[in-house]
Amino acid sequence: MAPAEQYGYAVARLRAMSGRLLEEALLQRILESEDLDSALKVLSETVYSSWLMELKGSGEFDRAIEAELLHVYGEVQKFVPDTALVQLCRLPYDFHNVKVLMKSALLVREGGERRFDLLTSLGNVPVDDLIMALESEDFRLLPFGLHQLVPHCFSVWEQSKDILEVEKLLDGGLFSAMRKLGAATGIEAASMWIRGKIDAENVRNLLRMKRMDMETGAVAGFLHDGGLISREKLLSLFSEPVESWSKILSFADVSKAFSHVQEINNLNSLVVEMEKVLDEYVADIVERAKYLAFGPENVISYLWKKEMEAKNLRIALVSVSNDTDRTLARGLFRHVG
Amino acid sequence: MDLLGIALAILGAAMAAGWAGAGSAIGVGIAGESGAGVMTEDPGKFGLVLLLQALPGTQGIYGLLIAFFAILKVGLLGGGAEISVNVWQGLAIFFACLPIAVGGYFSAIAQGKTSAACIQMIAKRPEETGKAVILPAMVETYAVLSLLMSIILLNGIKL
Amino acid sequence: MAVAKIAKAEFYIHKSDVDGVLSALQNTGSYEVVPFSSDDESEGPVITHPDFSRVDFLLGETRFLLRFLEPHFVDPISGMARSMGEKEVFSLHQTRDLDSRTDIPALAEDIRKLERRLMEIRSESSQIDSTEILLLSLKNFPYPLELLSTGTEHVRGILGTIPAEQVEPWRRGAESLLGTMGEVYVAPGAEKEKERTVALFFDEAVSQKASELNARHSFNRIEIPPGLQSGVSDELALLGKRRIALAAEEKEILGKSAEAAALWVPTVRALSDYYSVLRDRYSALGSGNATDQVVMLRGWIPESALPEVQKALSVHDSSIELVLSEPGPDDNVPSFIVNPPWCLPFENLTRLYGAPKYGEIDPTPLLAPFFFIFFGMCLGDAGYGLIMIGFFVWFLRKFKRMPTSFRGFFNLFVLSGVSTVVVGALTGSWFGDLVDAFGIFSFLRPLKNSLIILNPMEDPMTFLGLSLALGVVQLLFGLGIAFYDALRKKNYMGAFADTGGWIVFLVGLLLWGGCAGGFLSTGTEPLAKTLTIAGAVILLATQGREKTGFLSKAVSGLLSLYGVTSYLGDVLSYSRLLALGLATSAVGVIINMLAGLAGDIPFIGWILALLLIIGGHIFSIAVNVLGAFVHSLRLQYVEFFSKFYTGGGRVFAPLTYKTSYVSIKKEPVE
Repeated sequence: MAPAEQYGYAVARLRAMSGRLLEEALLQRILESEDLDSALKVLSETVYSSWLMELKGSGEFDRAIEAELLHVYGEVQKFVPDTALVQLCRLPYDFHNVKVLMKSALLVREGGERRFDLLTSLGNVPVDDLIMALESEDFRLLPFGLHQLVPHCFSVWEQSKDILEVEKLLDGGLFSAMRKLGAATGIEAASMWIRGKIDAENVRNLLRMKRMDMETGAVAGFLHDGGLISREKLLSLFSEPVESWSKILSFADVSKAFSHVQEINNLNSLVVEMEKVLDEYVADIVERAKYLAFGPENVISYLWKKEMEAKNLRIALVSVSNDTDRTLARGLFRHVG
Repeated sequence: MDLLGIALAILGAAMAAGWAGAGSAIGVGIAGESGAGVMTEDPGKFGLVLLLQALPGTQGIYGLLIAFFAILKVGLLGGGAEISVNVWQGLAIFFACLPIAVGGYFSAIAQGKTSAACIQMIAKRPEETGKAVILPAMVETYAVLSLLMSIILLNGIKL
Repeated sequence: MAVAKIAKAEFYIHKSDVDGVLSALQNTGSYEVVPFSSDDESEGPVITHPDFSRVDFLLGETRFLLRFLEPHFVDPISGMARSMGEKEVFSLHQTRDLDSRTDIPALAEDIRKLERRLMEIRSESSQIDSTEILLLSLKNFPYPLELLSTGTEHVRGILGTIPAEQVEPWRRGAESLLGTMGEVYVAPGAEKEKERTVALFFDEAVSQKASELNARHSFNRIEIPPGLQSGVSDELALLGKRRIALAAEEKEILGKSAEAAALWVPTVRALSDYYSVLRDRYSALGSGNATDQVVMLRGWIPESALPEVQKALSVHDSSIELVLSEPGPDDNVPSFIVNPPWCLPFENLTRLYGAPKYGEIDPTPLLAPFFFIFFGMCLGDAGYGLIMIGFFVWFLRKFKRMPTSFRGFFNLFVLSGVSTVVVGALTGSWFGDLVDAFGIFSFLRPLKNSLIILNPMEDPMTFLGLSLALGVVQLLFGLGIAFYDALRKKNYMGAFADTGGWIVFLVGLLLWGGCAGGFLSTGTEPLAKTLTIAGAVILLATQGREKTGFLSKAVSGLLSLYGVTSYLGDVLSYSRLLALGLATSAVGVIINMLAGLAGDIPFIGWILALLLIIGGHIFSIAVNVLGAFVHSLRLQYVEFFSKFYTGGGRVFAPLTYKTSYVSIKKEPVE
């Protein structure tokens, strides 16, 4: 960890940058637009304008959002004393890319076409390097434990032909890589954030499996270690009705998330609602950064808020372009402030 | 013996100017880093940032002031007549310089941190500038008190 | 004067006349509209003005236009002057005229085209740059680039880099694999380079094998844009030509933008402000409530402005109904601060802390004399004071139309300068000891000396005593205000027990101290003791009144006496008046001394001395004015306000002409 004094510049700059996060009022205006074009016009009053210029059609707004995120990650990486913090936030994209490439490789083995369209440029490892490594099957240089994980995944696939199993492995790999990276920074807030994120992921998975009515025995494999709540505790939740989860988890911070949820009788809408609430819970873990003029957690806090802003924007724009129920979209906005 | 007295007085002056100045340098530096961060995003805030960055700089001036007082007292400046200073008087001058040396050094650093935080504050809430200027001044109080004590002590030493 | 009385005003306006009434209200600038809160049962749908969406759209367009055009605009008025209030003045009629004559959407469309083209040009140039770098690295490539980009009917080519140590194995592999069906190109490169640029050409039939070969040797493919067809040097020449063409076009577009800016920026600025004025007016309407026929607005009017508002609305008398009432206890009433001219400059200081709540005391006139004296003492140099007065008076004369808040601050600094001159003259500090330090000023010495009553450099203890005494005065004054305020609110316990007790106790202690120190005659000693004991008894008896049980009451009362230390701390805090005052004059003295030493250098000495004097004193003024301002302010905020003032009020924000580029003048009410 870099000495706290070095964060003076970074935190000040992040504060100024976070002043430019999209406000709720602007999201409302986007949501109230009649069509996608006028929504993008509203958006062009913001920092997104330079990316919107380069779009060929209004349907490509996703590219603008990705470009802005990439720009922010690049900028922040340049001035933050501990770049590992930025890597940490980008890590999920690396594993996402690996998943995409692996599925594509498996498709090719089955005689299908390569599919690269879901790749994102937001990861730490350049996409080209990843493609290169997976095409040439030369995994030695892959970072973040991928050099062992990827061949392992391939062999698991050979044995079981179970794509879910492979995904499970990769998710586990992501969180253990995050934990390792977080611990290496020596910043406690980073580790706490990761643990909270693992909790959130576990709860999210449990809810999804509950909705799918999965067997209790199969559940354990989808839970990740390293959160604040032990695996056993989580497993014991599964057999209980969702209503009582918040009581059982009351010792853990994540139970706060449940108190926001009113409509608990419909699991489908609950899962959607919880996505939002858990995202906000993850943001809350580093919320203390607000009071720290030299705290490294400001980096995580800002980047995560930027991620949530991107999600909000996607929700709003998709809702406008598909002309779906606007109040539903409004309810899904993560609070960015 | 006279020379040792003068030397002690000079040591006091040097410490007052040196330590208080060093503290101010650190403090202004800390505030400046934050200021640069804010200005990268919002160059229009230059005036406010400069004002806040300047606040931890006063300790250096206080230190310099005491240093001048001290060497004036022993007649090293201004071409005045040599004043004989015995060891005890020199030691007294040295001690009289300590409040601003120590108080100035630490208060300047603390004030620099407060200034940095206040600069960050105006990045988010430019309408609260008035309050942002007052917070660092709260820290400076103690530098002012140190300065005052140094002045009174120097004033009290009879040569 | 302080916080003015405000009346709750409800308008019931017939729909046909809403526009007229609102514009008249906006013109007076004395009515704040409050939105109907959501829990009020609404008596009709929320009303949006039919013109709202048009104005909102146009406002967006003008903002876009200004964002793009302003950087190309050479403003005849400097930005500094602009923020000092030097703006074009328009009447609402003129802007309305402009609005009907100008086709903003068409203009915006044209400008958007320019911006888009500019963007395309810039992205194409950067593409050209990267292509050029690529081509330069292939300078000796002997074949047409067509082979690498699109390929011919049979032959495919791929370009890439491989690690230097892989070159030989790769070449051999290619030869054995492809035989006569392929060819290898290795760009000449230095021995030490880790990566080499290579190309492989092969028949389309063996492309599968070729890519397997490449994968085995860590071949990293470089994409060649499909537009590149002929030889490297030809393509480079083409790129050069294209770049020149693009640069010419960019220049032309920039020229057009500058032209458009010169032509349109003044108009668009005025229109932008016009639209935002209209938007404010329409959103005021939007926060009202409506039935089929009538629009209801709720808000606040200062009582002093009522006659004017009523006069302005007299034309609409037939279609409106105005209901006035007193603000209720639950209302969040804004405070409208009115102060006599002499303390107007100090109003900014109150605002910096936070406006008073409605019905509370406005501290502006109370702090004004103290701030005035304190600033003078902290800076305390007559020369610096004169410079301050000169500078700020010049500024005030130069920019006559300054916004009020700026004007207030500038006036404040002029006043502070006056106080500084007085204190400086009384303590004999003119640019430090400039008059004494240099012989040429000797004729001024008698004049200077005749004004001196106290020299803090020689007698700091008296000055310290004076500072602390001022502190005692201000603190007791603050307690007195709190006493009065509590009486006004009929909080007798608070008045007599809390503040009253402290006042008696502190005055008693002071007198006692005075007697003990020999400043007062011993005759006052019994009085001092009585006051002290009486005050202590009051505090002991009352400060535990919220506690239950005799013992805890007594203990709380006793502990409250410990609060005397905080008063001690407050008083000592005023010693900064001496310290800062001394610091200013001492810095001045040091500058003069250095200048004097520099003056002894032969030949150029006087130049150095002059530079030191001018530069040094400017620096000293800047630093010390900042310090004096901040510390005098702190004494008000921390020591003085803590006795009686909380702030936290909301400033009255009427519907008015809020503009950012031009100013729109109010139309006089007939």
